[in-house]
Amino acid sequence: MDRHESKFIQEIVKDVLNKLDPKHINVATHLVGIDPLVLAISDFLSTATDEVCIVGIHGMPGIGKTSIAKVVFNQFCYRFEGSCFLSNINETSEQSNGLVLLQEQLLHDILKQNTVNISNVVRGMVLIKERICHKRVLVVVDDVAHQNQLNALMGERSWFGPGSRVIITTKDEHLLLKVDRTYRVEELKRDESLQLFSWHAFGDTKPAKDYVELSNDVVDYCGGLPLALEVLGSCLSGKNRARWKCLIDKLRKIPNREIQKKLRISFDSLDDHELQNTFLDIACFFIGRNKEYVAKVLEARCGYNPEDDLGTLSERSLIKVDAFGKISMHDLLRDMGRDIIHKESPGHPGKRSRIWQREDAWNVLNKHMVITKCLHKSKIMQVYLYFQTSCIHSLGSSIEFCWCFRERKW
Amino acid sequence: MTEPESSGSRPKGAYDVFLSFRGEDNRKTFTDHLYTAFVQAGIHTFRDQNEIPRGEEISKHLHKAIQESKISVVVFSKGYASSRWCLNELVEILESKNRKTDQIVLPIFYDIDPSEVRKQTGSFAKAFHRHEEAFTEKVKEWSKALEEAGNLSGWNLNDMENGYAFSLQDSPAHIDGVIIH
Repeated sequence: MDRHESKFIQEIVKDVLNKLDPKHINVATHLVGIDPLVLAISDFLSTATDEVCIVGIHGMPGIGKTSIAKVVFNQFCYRFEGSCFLSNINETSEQSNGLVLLQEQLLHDILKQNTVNISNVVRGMVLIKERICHKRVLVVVDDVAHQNQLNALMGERSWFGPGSRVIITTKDEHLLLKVDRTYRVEELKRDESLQLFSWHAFGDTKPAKDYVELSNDVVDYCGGLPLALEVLGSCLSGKNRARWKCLIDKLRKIPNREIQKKLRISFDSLDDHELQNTFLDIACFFIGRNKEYVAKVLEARCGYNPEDDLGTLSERSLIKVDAFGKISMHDLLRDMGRDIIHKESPGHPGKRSRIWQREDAWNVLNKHMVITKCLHKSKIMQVYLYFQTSCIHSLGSSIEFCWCFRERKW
Repeated sequence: MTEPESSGSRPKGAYDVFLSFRGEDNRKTFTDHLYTAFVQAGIHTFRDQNEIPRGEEISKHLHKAIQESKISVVVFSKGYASSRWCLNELVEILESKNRKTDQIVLPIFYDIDPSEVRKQTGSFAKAFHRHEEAFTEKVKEWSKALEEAGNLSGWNLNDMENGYAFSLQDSPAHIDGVIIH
C-alpha cells in the first residue's frame, strides 16, 4: 500500500467517524406523506451557491412542519462545518432569559465548545455574528412566533458564513417575508392519513381487518392532520371495537384535549381580542361563506374593515380563502373555536357569546318569547343576531335588519 | 403486529458500516486495509465474506445488514460493474437509503473516475455492453443506481493523489422533486 492509499484510508475513516457521530436529531418513527416537500426543500438547499439561503416552512399546528425540518436537517447536517437545531423557540423564549439560552445553544452547537456566558440578548447578537460569520452552517429555527425571536437568533444573513443554510418553521407566514422560499405544509391525503393512523393504532400500514370502517371514521374526523392521526391512533391502540365506537362518538361531542391544546396555541397567540373574535365568528357562523359577505357582516360588528384581520388569520393558517373568495377552516380548528364558546357556559347556551345550532337558538329565543324584550341583555341579543346571519332563510329576515339592532350599542 | 423500527434506537447487532466492493478486484488489498482501519477505529463493519457461488437475489441476511447499517461504503473499482452481484447490492443499498432518511451512502472511487460510474463509460461501458445482451430489464435499474451513487459526495483516490483531500459534490445533479410553493 502506497502513501497516498494509506492517507486516503485515514481520511475515509475520519469521515466515517464524523458521520457516525450522532449530530442528527431524533425523528418520529413513522413519517408519511412528507417526501415531496422534503425533496423540494432539499433540492433548493442543495443549490451550489455561496449565498446564505433561507427557507421558511409554514402551516397550521400539528401539520408536520417540525418533522419536515428535522428530516431535512438530518440529511444535510453532515455537509456543514457546524449545525444547530433550535427547537420550540416560542416556548423557550417565554422562559426568563429564554432567548439568551437559545443564543448560547446556537453558539455551543456550532463552535462545539462552551462559550462565555451571554449577559443579554443584544450581546448575544453581537457574539453570534462575530463567531459564526465565517462558518458554513446549517441552522434550523423551529417554531418561531415573533419577529424579535428571529432578530435575536439570525438578525441578518451576514451573521452566517458563505454557503450557510437556514430553515425557519412557523405558524405565521407573515414572519417569512424575507426568506428565499416558503413552503406551506398541506394536510395529508386520505390514503396517507390512513397509513399514518394505522402505524399508530396497529403498528402496520393498514388497519386490522375488523377495524377498517372504524379507522375510516377516525381518519375522516382528523381531516389529514398528522397530529390528530397520531394522537388518536395511539389512544385507540389496543382497545376493542366497543371502546373504539364509544371514543369516536365522544369525539364528535367533545374534542380530544391533547389535540385541542396544541391547536389552541395558534388561537391564544392572536395578538388582539378582535382577531380572536373574528376567528370565533368564522368558526361558528361563516365557514363556506364568501369573504366579501363575511367582511361586511364583521365590519358591522367591530366597526372597522376586517380585511387585514382576515389576512392575518389566513397567514397563520387558521382560515383558508380559496380562489373564489370562499372561506374555509380545518374541521378541528372549527371544533377548537366552538369548544371555546361552549366552555363559556357549558350548561346554558343562552349564556354563551355565540350560538350556531338551530335547536339551541330556538330554545334560547323561546325562553324570551318576545325578541325585543331581551334587547337589553347584550349576550342573548348577540346570539340572536349571529344566528340570523347564518340561518337567514329559516328566520325570514335580512342581514340589514339584524345589524341595525347591533347599532344600538348595548 | 410488527414492532415499528426506530431510527433512534437501532436494533442490537446492527452495523455502523456496510462495506460493498468487488471482491475479485481488491479483496486482498485496498478493501482489506480499509476494513482493518475501520475495525481498529471501533467502527462495527459488515463485510460480505461469502465468496461461494450464490443466486442472483440478495439474501435475507445481507438485506438486513444493509438496512440496519448507518453508512454504506461502496468501493467503486474498475471491475465493479462487471459483477451483477455488486450491481444488485448497490440497488439494494440505494433503495434502503431512499427509504430511510438517516442512512448515508459514501462512495469511494478507487482508481476510477466518478464520471465513469455516473455515465457508465470506460471499463463500465464494456461491462454494461455485456449485461445488456442477457439482462435487459435489470440494466436500466443498475444504470440508474450507478448514476445516483456517482452523484453522491464521496472520496476519490485520484483527487488524493492530485493533492486534494476531499471530493465533495454537494448534491445529486437531479432530484425528481416538485417545487411546492
